[in-house]
Amino acid sequence: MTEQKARSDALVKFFLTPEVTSIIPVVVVAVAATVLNPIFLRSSNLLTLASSLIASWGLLAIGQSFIIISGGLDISIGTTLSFAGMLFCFLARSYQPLFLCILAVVAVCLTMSMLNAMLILKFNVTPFVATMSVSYVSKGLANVVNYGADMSLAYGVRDSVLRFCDVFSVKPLGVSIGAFTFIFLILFSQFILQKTAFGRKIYAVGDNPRVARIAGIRVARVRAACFLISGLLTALTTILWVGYYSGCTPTQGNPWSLITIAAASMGGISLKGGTGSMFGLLCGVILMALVYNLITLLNVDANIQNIFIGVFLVLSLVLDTIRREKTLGKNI
Amino acid sequence: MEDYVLEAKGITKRFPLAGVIALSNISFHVKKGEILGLIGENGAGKSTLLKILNGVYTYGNYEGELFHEGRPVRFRSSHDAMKQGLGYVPQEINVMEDLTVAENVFVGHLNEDSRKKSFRMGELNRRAQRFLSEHHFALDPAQVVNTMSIGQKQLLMVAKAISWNPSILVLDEPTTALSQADVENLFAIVRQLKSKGTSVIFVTHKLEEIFELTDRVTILRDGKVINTYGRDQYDRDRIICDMVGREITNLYPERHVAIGEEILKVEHLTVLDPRIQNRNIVEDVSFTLRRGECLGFVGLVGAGRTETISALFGCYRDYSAKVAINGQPVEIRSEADAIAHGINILTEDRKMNGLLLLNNIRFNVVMSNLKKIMNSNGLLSRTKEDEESNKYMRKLHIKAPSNTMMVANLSGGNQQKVVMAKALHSDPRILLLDEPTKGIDVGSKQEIYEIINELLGEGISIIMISSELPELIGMCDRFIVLSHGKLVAEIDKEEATQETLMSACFM
Ligand SMILES: Nc1ncnc2c1ncn2[C@@H]1O[C@H](COP(=O)(O)OP(=O)(O)OP(=O)(O)O)[C@@H](O)[C@H]1O
Ligand SMILES: [Mg+2]
Repeated sequence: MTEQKARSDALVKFFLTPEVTSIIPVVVVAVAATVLNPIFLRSSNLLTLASSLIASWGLLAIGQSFIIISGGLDISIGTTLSFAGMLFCFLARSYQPLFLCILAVVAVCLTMSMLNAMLILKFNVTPFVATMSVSYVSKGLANVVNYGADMSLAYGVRDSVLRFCDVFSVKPLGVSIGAFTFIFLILFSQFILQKTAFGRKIYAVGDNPRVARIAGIRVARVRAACFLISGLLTALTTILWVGYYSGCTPTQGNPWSLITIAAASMGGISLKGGTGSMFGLLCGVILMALVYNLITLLNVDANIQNIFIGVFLVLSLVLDTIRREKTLGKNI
Repeated sequence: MEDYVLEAKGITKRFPLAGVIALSNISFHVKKGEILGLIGENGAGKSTLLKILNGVYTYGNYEGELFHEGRPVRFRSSHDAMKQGLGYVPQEINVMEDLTVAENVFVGHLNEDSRKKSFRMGELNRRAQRFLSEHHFALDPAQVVNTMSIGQKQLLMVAKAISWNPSILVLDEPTTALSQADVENLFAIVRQLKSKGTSVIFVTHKLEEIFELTDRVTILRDGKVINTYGRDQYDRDRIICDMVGREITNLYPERHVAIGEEILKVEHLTVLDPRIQNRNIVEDVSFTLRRGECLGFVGLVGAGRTETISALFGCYRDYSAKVAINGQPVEIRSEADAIAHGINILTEDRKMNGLLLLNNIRFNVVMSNLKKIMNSNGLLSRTKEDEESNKYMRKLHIKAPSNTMMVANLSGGNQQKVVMAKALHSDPRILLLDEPTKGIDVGSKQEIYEIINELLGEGISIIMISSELPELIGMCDRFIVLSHGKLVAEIDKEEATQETLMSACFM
């Protein structure tokens, strides 16, 4: 009886490992996709999946994860991306040189992330409220740039910009540059979290800022650095994205704030901060990408996507609570 | 048999995920109107047992049976247990910080008479006042909890448990955070309950309290009942031997350390009260600390001891002082500054300020000094991390299957040892210890005192705060007495007795 119980407990422990909890739905969704629409398994579709879906927003999710682990949250990265992308196009269409467009994107993304960091760390605004407010600013700005209309880079720009767009839509080995960058950055971020003092500090700050401070960690600096990293990754994503699509729409990035949060949470990065890994995030990103791809293949109404994001977010929050109770007992 | 208020038969509790058997086949009973002491080493299983008695671990999560007033009981929740007459005050402080005393006490009772849809604050306060003075609690019903000391919060938790009129009151180390006066206050409350026929289970690491208060004592070790003695069989050495499995002859080991030159000089330390304007919590305190010296801070709760060392450690923004280390004036504006100057601290409240509860032992221990676990290439080394944390686990006898055990799952005393290990790992030159042996068993206490002596021998200087005067007298070379934030006396080791120190507090 007790041996049986011990075995079932070990099983529970196994299934609560973040990587496992997020791999299982990946497999389930993949199988469901194959059954529902065999096109899913074609290599061309899988490549589309890898390049356009994972790559394009995976970097955002990495930045988001840094912020979440350090005890924050950023629901403005999507709208910041829209604004920065629109600004890129606007400058390019004004015959500005490529480097200026890129510089503008970096400047916008860093400013927004520092604005968030300042509100949260200096003025003690809760991350949700602070980034929500900032997101409205960038949302508005994105619409101001071109009176709410899309912008294309296919014509009316300098040659350098045209060449830039060419480079980014070319797919070496069939997978876009973004996918390589993404995999590389997942490994690199995991390395930072696991092997460097900075990574340690991120976990400590997310666990309990007061204890971290007493351990001599400059808490605000660490948390601001996480926002900064996320800002840089948002800038990078914007650049890749504008190149890939040869243009931008004023709402291009908007949904992705929440999707990155859902991916992180599904991947076992607790929204309460202080736990999780980039491998978990990788699983979460793949899962969300699969769900998206499946929705596209099945030709379901795009609005259904939102239902899925919501469902997965709720599911991951429930899992997080169960995981906490199982690993930390009733002592916390 | 009938007058057993509570009986436990064959209780076994496992934590399979951590691979721990916390209790094995425990049987014991409590008689009506009796005060039963429960003692044992850190990690012996005391708190786990109490959690089973009080429905924190619900029926089905343990093996064995519980009987309450002769009837078998299977609690579905701790609320269930409370309603059936088991009052429980857990080891860790657990109060609603932003509410008042009255609200904390009565929040669980508010929906009792559902006919009344609303209540008035004034009425609640009056009701609380009546209840508190009836039981002689020195608490103000209208006070907001986050302005109170840990000791007051502890008393508040007791008050809350008593408000349910329990037939058994279970107190898990209620005195660790209490001042002498508050302990006496609590004892009076407990005796009054006893005279009304309430039974009490009382956990403590202080034998004096067992001798003073309890009618019987049950000793646990490694999850088993070792012995139970009636009051007439109380024998200090035998009880200690049952607890730790060996004799303890000299609790405060001798020390032969030559005290050296002046290391630290603090002048005119003044700290503004962060909550109340135009008030100082520490006022114009000056003192020095020498190499290899252990300086004791004496004072009642609220005297400003913790605040003084916190200021020295850079925890406050609004403070002024002239601080010199090794004769060099230094500016300490943050905890990181203090650490850079070789100061480190062991904080009083381990749950709030001491531990990263989402992480394991290893992570917590090495956190205080990451440089020490780096390879030459600047990256963290798992090997070094294991070495360091295992070293402290051995040295301090931290009871856990491995260094990857979550600190949240450790027993209270073992958590305290992790906080100690963390402070030691930082290799400080000046170590500030705020209640270092809080909740630690006698055997481990002696080991910690030995470690403190070792540190002093290495030329490290220590400032120690403790609510246990014998501990201070046993360990310190010199004493500073604080009262209402002011330095009122400085006393040498030769003149220090409990009486001189206590009377200095009231000067
Ligand atoms: N949730 C848990 N998961 C795993 N092990 C646990 C858990 N809770 C307690 N334990 C283990 O059970 C044992 C008994 O712990 P318990 O808290 O009952 O000790 P205690 O006698 O109260 O000690 P202390 O005097 O330090 O408070 C310890 O070894 C502890 O690590
Ligand atoms: Mg305990």
